[in-house]
Amino acid sequence: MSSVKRIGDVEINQDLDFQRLVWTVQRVGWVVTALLIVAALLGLFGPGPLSWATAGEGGAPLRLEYNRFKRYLAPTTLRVHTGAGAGREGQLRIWLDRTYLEGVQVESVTLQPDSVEAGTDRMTYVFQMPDPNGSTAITFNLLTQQIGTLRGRVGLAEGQTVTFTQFVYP
Amino acid sequence: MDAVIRSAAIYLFLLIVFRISGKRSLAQITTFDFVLLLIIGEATQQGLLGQDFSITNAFIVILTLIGIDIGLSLLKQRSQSLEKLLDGVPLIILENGQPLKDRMNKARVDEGDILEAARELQGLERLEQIKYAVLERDGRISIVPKQ
Repeated sequence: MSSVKRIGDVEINQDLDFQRLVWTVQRVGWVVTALLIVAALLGLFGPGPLSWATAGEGGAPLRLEYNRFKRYLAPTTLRVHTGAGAGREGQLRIWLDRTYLEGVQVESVTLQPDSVEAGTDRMTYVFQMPDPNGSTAITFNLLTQQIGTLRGRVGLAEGQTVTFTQFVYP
Repeated sequence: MDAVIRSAAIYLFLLIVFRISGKRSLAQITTFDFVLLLIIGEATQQGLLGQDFSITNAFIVILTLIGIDIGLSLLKQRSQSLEKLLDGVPLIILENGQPLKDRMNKARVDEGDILEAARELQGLERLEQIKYAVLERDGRISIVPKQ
């Protein structure tokens, strides 16, 4: 219950010690605010330099461009670069593992896949690729459906697999 | 479920942000501050509602916000320290015509602000006519004139 003090001639709940504490906390808060803004600019909470990442070596037939940090229900992209030797018999077959696809919703794919094959633990996207030595890039436009850490695996039907980890902010 | 969590998270976040920004931030609202408030409201709205634009969701969000507000006001009545924490404390910034400079600097108030409040509230003309000026918890300045 309020016990009002008297300071000079006024009855007032002034509390200088507490006020000084508040001022200190506020100044710390301003610094934290500035740091958070810088972190956001750098991409700690979403797209930005800290968030951009690639998986897979430069010369390999499969290379992945993804974002380390994503946000819940926000659109994001996963770009798959393929090089020589990725396709076979005029077809390029890229699969995404099922646990990853439970965390994201594939809104669209460019190039348009020829067909999508459902497997027990993976979805395979099949593209027409007349030139077996050509390189191409395929973009998956995704909507994040899950909060927290997302582990993903992307691979070519014949061999190379790339794993990556993303963190999804609420 | 998530509507309640979202509302509570945003309530807490806004509480902390406005507490950190300090009393003066929204005390004397200029036209631009008003516009800023509208933008903050706009930015909050999406996060508050998510992708669910149903009336039920709106009801839940509103109930949660008001509920937390009522709950905190009840707690504040019981605990003075919580009230201090959430609402702050008033501060004397001028005594017997003498401005208390260090407090005013920390609170980001200047003599012009005190004089403005003195003119508006009491029709006073000079600092020496003021006995006490108090920076209230809501950021306004109240004036006690000399007799």
